[in-house]
Amino acid sequence: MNNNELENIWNSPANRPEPAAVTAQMEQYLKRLRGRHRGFVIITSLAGLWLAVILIRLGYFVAGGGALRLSQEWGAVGMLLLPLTVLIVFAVQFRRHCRVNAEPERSIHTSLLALLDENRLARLRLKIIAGLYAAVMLIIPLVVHQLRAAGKAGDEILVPAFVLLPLLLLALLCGLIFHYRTRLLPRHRELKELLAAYP
Amino acid sequence: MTPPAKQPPPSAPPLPPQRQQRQFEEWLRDHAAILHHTVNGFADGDDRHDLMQELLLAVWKSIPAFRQESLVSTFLYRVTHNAAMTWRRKQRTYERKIEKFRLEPPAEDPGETAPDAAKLARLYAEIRRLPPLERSLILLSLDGMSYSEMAAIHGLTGSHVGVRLSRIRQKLTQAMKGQHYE
Repeated sequence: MNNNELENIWNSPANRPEPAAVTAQMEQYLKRLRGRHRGFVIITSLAGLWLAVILIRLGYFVAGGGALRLSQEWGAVGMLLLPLTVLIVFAVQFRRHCRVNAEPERSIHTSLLALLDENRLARLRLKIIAGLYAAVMLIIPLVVHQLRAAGKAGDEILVPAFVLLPLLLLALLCGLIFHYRTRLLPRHRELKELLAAYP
Repeated sequence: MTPPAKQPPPSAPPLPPQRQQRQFEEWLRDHAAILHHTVNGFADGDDRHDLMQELLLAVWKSIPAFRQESLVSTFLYRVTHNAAMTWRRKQRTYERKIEKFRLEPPAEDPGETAPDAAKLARLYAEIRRLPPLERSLILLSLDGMSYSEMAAIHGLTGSHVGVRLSRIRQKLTQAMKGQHYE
């Protein structure tokens, strides 16, 4: 078989898509897209609502027992500021990623480089979140001690602070490790392999 | 020669949904062959459906980034080949396929008198045996793209594309004759 024969096979009617099949696939996709969009709106609204409730409750808990005395309750303020700091770090990293990979779609090569950088960033984010959990675990005894000393919490805080929260953070940490090992690392290897084919 | 398309940063402003959908339908109607060839060149069996959904998603998401500075077809080749090369099969399916691939001998030679469909299936099977970059280059070449267009899509030089393609074509023609390469 030579090149001409290859091209004849390629250009044969058998290699032309059926218009009806393409239309059906497109309609199926658009239907799925609309469903996904609805799902996204619902999930985002629920997550936003949940976050708002938690923040309001937390604020009420810290300030509700009287005026905030920073000299005695700085642990709680620090704990509230930790996620905000992490969020700012993520935003700075994302801006740097966008600046470095300003034209990811210029070619498939640049797009692969951008995906690899995105993967590196995602792995770094996971490590930072794991560090945040560790910091929260370290700071919790101090926060509990300060809140109890200020008379803003009693014994009822002990079980949530020292049992429920650590269990929740441990479960989240296991999820992060699972995601890191089963998704991000294999993806990193795949992208490196693909990039190795480029000179 | 089509110049390398300059794309805006990833934060291209979103289009109104109706306009995006109109564009999407128009592109798929006019360039369905690009998706058809890419899907068959990168996946087989049930995986084709998964990959098609992935390509449709990539095309949909890329619409706001299209700036009329390149041909729609060149833009679509870049988007679909990019998505196909980085597409991840569902892990279990992939492992099963790898296992099957190890056990199965290469596809049989359909012979000179076989119908086009059988020869075409054999050609696609041989294309899928190539590494992803070679697979993409041969698909683009069979679709009639010039070396410079392929070079722009992949971020390679025209001469590099030429050297690689002549090797890939040699591999393919040998494989179609039943002489398998390593």
